[in-house]
Amino acid sequence: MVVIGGASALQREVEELLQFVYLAPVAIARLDEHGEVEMLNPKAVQLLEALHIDSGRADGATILEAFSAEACRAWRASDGRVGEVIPGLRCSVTRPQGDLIHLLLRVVRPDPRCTMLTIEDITVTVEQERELGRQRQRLAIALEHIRGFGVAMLDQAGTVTEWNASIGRLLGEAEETLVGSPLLDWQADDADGPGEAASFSHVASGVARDGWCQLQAPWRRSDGSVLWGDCMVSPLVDTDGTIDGYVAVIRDATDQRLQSQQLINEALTDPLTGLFNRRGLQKRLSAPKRRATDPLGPRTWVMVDIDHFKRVNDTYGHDGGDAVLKAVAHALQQEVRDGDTLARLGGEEFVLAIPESSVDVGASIAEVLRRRVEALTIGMAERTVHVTASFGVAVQAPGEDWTLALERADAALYRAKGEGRNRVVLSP
Amino acid sequence: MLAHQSPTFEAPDVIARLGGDLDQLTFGVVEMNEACEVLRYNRAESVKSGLPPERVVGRHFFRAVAPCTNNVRVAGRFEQATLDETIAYTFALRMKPVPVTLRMLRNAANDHMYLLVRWS
Repeated sequence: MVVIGGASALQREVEELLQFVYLAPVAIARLDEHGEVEMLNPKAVQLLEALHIDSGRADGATILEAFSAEACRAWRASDGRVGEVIPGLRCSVTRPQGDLIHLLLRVVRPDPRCTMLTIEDITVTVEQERELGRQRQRLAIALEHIRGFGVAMLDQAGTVTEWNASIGRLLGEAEETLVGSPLLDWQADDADGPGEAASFSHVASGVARDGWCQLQAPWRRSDGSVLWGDCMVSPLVDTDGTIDGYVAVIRDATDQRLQSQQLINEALTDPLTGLFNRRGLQKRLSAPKRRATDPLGPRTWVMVDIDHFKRVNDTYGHDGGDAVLKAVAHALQQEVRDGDTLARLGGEEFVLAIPESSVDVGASIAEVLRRRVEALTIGMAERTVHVTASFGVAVQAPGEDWTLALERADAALYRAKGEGRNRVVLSP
Repeated sequence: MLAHQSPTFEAPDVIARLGGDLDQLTFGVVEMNEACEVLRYNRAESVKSGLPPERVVGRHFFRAVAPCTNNVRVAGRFEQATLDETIAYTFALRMKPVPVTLRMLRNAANDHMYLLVRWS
């Protein structure tokens, strides 16, 4: 009996409790051991109505059946056992007013004599999840279709956790191969000097300092080729400000790289013969050591000058001169071994740098070259031309600037010219 | 006085008869203003729900007192200017599913809205 006006403390607490359960936004019901509804709150009445159930008459089986056949099966199969019967099951129902709502059912039997059941309206959550799913899908489609860009999600250690198909195409790898491997493992050795082959801690500290980190690096492709990629690494920041992981965007810069490489090559190469020009020679000699076999020590220098080249030009014109230059360059190239550098210094003058500091070796190579040039038969406009060349050889002393050695080789060449041409002269 | 004669649940002119002491009635009466705020909550309803009027009066009935009625079948009906409709319904009175008969009343002459509750 409710005492109106003079409620006791206990009575007030009961009223509080009643109101608390009346207004609970989750449906709660209790079934007895026969599955009859013993207790339920107003939200239960409301949600059961959405399931087209008259909560005044329905028993537990009816409610679960209305929720889903699966729920009812699980309930029956539990056969009075104590514990969780249905840890969470979703269903979608159309309410009498025609809109679709999503419900989450939980069933637990704390005691053989009673079953507690909660139903939650998770329509908003489901809609949010779906919207999120749609966004993810749109993003996935966008990422799937972008070409030339790859996106990878990395954990804190730089290991790939996810990446889009585009990056798989860039590297020619399947997702299974890529996920779980450190991103930087896919860096290739830099073919153009000591690369920045960065460690991930270097990247991470760059990101921590600047908010991002950019790497220009070669990447290994599954077919063995190299992809030049600009890689931008940005942090994924958690709500509390800590870095939870990283996102890496790799842009395929191979074409640009090739173009700029080509421009560089053009600037360093003699277009007529394809040999290094003077700048190319300098660049090559100043390039850092890349391989253990690369020569760093003193070289032997062989200066080459085609004899009476002015006469060839005067007789056969510039086209004739060019043909002779190409033929001689080609002949000299036949003797070039790995590590040697052959350049056209200008006019009819060539130089060969040999990574040996032996005047005998230099002299014998120069002699082979001299014979090759002498033996050339250069065809032009129904005629053939024969040329010779003079050679000056100098050995670079340890620690000596190579330009000085070149000057001495040039002086020796001058003597060869003076001594009648078509000969090899060694610098003292 | 007509208004002081105990009206029956089904009385066609029940609104006119609800001016007096509602606590004598054997069925529940919830009187609300147009904003759905409870003005009167009679004794019969109070006993059944377990909530004294002071916990209910002034609150939005459909949202803060009886959320099970916040649907098209009950709250939705009160959007009409005149209403006299009786339906079978279920209340969770003190957490027991209780089949009830609801009579929903609203009359253009009176700004107030009434929900009469008879339990079987």
